[in-house]
Amino acid sequence: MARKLELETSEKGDVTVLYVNGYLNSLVGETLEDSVNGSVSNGRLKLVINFGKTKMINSVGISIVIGIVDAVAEKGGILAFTNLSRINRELFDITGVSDLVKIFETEEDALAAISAVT
Amino acid sequence: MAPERRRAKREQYRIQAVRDLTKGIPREGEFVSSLKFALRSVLGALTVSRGAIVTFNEWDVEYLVARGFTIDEKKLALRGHLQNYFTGRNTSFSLLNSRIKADVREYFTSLTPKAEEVVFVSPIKSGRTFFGFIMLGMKINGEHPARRDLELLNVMTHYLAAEVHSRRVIVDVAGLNMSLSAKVKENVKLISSLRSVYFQTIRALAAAIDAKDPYTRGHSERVAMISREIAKTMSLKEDSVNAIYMASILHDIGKIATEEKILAKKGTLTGLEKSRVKNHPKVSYKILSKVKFPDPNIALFALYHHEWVNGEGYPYGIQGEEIPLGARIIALADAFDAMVADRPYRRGKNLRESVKEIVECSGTQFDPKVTCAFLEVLKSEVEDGMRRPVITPIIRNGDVGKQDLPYIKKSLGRVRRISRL
Repeated sequence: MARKLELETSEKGDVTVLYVNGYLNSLVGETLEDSVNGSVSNGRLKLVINFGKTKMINSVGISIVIGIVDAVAEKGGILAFTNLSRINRELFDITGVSDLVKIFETEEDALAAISAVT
Repeated sequence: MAPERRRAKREQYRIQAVRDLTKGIPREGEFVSSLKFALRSVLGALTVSRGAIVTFNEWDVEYLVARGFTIDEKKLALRGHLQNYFTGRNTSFSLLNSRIKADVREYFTSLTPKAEEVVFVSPIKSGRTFFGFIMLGMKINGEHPARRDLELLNVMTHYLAAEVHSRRVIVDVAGLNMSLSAKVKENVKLISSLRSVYFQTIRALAAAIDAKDPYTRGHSERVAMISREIAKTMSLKEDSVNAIYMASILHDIGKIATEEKILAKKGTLTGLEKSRVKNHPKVSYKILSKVKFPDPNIALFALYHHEWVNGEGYPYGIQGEEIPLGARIIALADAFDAMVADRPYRRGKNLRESVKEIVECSGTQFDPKVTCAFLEVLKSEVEDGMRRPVITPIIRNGDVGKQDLPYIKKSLGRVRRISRL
């Protein structure tokens, strides 16, 4: 079900924040992976992904999320997820994604933690 | 999260992933997009970051889609002994398994720059026809492939194989420039074959549940066949028959959350163990209600398959027509298959013993109308050797034949009297 997905990016100091708005359940989700790859290739290695407005994640979405984790790790970057709904948090827990990424309640918490890393 | 809940949730995610694949593929236009979608869905289902799908035409590469793998395409062509290997191999395997032949391992090791990147391999086949394979890297948690991972991969690959196959047929048909009517005929056949693939997918999942419980191998499949015959005999509509069939295949899926040591236990169960086992219809419901099946009753049939018409069943103790007909049918088929099965601690019942018990339990445990339909099916199987009998072949102890007819007819009479009361 290729429903709408809109990405927003915001640069906050040396951290890039990505907002995943809509459905992460089709190949359209690869645009998220592309922007993460774009960021890390440009040397912006600190990333926060805000899932506050993410409606649905399925197996295809999980594959995209795992791809991002892999790409950031490969470049030695730092990645954090924030604002997960209960359902998405549970999905990340059962798939083991939670064990690979730092997860924060709010974007502010994530920014504070990540900015401190040098 | 409690381990039981975690297992149930994970199982639900896996079934949903199979559904993502079966629902998602036809919506993508270009065939390459279908393959990309399938790869994503498989990677997500198994939580692997890297993988590829390769299809072949006469052993040369036709399509290659990869994610995270850099693959040397020149090395992909399959030669000699590898052709033989894939002609004979139908199921997925792990390259970490030491029994995999050295030349097969070398082939996959040579494809990627870093050796030993490929962990899972699953041949895409329809019968003996080889279309290609899916290859995947290590799971993100670093765990080696488990039996359940390989089973899930088989199921998803099986579906993909049907897609690749039907696309080949379409290409061939278009190339032949056949008359329009012939194409339409072919399409009809394709649609029905895809439908059966959906059933097969579901069956493969259920087989995995049965495999977990050593005493019930093939149980879901047998219950499904018996339930289908009962439903047909009761003149239910085709859609209802299909829903009952699918629900019976999946009725025990909640057992995925029950510890294997309880399922395999030989002695009597403790109170706590019993309550664990009795919880399985609820877990089945939880899992199935999240999957959007064509018929929403499927989850309910599974929930109520241990209810008795007199209200003494579980988990809710509802009675009579409060229990959906589908669940009443599955209840009988399920109990019958358990009765005739041999267990380490007892022999399975023969025809007379099992019919006697079912008749005696009609009106209390079983719906007499369902029992009547069951006996009708049994009667016609014994009487005119139905083309594909489903009940008689599972009675393992004692010969079944025309000599049993009078007893079946007498039993049918008894149940008819009960159902009229």
